[in-house]
Amino acid sequence: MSEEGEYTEEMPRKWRELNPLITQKGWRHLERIRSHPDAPRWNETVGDRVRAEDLKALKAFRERIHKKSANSGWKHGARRHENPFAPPPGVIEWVKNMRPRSPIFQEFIPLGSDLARDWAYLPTMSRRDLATRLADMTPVDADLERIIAYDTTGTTGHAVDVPHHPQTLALNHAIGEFALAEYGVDATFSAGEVACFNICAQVNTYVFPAVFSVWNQAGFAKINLHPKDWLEPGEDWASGEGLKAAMERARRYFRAFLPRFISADPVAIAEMIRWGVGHGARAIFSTAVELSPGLKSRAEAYFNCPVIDWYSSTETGPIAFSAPDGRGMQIAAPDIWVEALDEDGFPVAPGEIGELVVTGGRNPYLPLLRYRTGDFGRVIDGRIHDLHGRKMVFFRAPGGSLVNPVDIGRIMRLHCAFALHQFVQYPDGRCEVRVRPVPGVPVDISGLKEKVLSLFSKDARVEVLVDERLGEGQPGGKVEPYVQLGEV
Amino acid sequence: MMIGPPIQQLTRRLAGCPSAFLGDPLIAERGEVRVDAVVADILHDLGMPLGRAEVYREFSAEVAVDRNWLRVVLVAAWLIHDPWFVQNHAAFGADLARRAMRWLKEDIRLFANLVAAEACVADADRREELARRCLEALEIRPAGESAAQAADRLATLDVVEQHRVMLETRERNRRALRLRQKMREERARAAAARWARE
Repeated sequence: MSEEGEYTEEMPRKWRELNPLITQKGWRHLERIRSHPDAPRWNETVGDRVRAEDLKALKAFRERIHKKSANSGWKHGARRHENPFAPPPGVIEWVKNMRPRSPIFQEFIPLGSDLARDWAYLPTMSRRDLATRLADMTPVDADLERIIAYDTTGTTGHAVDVPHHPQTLALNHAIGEFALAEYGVDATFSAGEVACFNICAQVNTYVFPAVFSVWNQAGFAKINLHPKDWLEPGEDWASGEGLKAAMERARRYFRAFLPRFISADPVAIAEMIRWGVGHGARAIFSTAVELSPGLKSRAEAYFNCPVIDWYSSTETGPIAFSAPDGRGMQIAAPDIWVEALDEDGFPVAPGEIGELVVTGGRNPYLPLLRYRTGDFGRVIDGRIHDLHGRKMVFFRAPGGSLVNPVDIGRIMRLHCAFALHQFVQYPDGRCEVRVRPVPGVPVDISGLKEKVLSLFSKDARVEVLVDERLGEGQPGGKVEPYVQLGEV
Repeated sequence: MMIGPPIQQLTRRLAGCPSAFLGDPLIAERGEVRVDAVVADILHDLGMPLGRAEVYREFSAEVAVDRNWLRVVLVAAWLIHDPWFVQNHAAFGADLARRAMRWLKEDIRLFANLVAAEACVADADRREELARRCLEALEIRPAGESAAQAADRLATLDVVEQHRVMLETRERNRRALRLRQKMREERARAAAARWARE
């Protein structure tokens, strides 16, 4: 008998270790999700890793969210100090308490600083700090025993590893509950039902079933809308017939479990419409990249449920979601402070557009101090307006299946070192990969072409070009890494 | 090395720093105090000709992160305008002003990364550290101390060196290595179920 849950002999040890609080009921439910005859080809075993102490923290966090929504806590918008850019006292206190524990906080906050007065002049953290000096960002007394690692995948640039904690992910559930409740969707889950499917549309990704202890053992699955994850080995997923068979199987699976809500990026939402899956969900969370108003309207009409746009990142967790009254995105997390800065690092005038930076958070390995998101918007009274974030781009293989920039970025990173890259698909379907090499490091052109073809199919027209001057003359020497010139 | 004023004379001067020298430096059209002009005037009183373009270039800023540096420069400028330096600068030729400028431009920047301007006035240890840094940069020994005594006392107070040691200690390197190893372990890479990719 485990200390934290009940189990029987039929539950494999690995599942118990990954799900410390799983019950007999939860296990049986997980087995139904996992072994359904129309289930996709699972390729990973993942658990929630939640322990009893995490549930206590979750209870306290839910109460905090409730209080925030009742106008207390880290409230954006009200003036608390003669400096209009100063954050609330709770933020100042949090930063002061973090300083002795974090080398980078010590470096950024000079001894004797008046944080409330000098807040606007504090340096900002960035992705570069994450990539080059993570050890200085992680508190020196952090217990690393439960650490987990996420690759940010880098849809728009180079990926970095982000340390995370199972309790952080558990607390994020409470933010999702809050959003559902704001839209009138019941956010109380129970064993025997499926709370959520997370849908992807990539060539390669992990696909797995799970149950969530934080939601009373309700079910979950990460699903991929790519035919190869639904067909038997040896079946031709690149053909039109293969795609059709995969779609039919997926539809049967979705009908069997009818998740209460679905989370997906806009690429996957578009594929859900194409595949005809997801009917019956009471809400769809759109994540990762910008959701166009056109796709939102189309999806809401097709699925007859709200499509809730989320603003979040692996580094910050969920930040805000589209408000039900249609006026901007509501900052939902009670433990972060969001500001908009100009290019010199000063807060912009109230209501002006600036780069969004985040302080706070619930990740014990990554306390944030004015962390630059790379996204732009206006922050007004606890809401973000006119968010300019990561844009949705995707590509089509000759057989019609989708190729996600995430897939391309991953194989390029694994295959070769390069300074910059740009992937372009033209209206006629042909693809061009331009690579600016690292000086002195040759590019394996034929090898890279072969890898790209493995995503698109061997019939695809792909050309790999070495361009030593890629990015020259462009702002910051950067280029859009993924460009779609056709219609998909 | 020339013998200078007693260290207490300089720390008292810092403790009495007027509020005008704790004002908001002008940065990108925000703030009030033209730090470049203040520095130019003070260096002139130490023997540097007025109107040196280099001074105006080196002590103006456009980005918010330079604010504390410029604020500490103001306090340091107040310090080096102590009557002892003004009355004795001729004994140094052009060297005193040149050394002072280098100090304000370089050493102060490292110090200001770690110490707020207010602490240079309000905190006894930081007052003494700033005063000792000043004398060291100007190649002057405090009256009543040997060179070794002065160096030892500064080493005790030196926050820049303490920070450098913190970043380069074996413990920090061990921590960084352990963090990387933990994240690479199979268990870490297996991650945990979450309701969405962010």
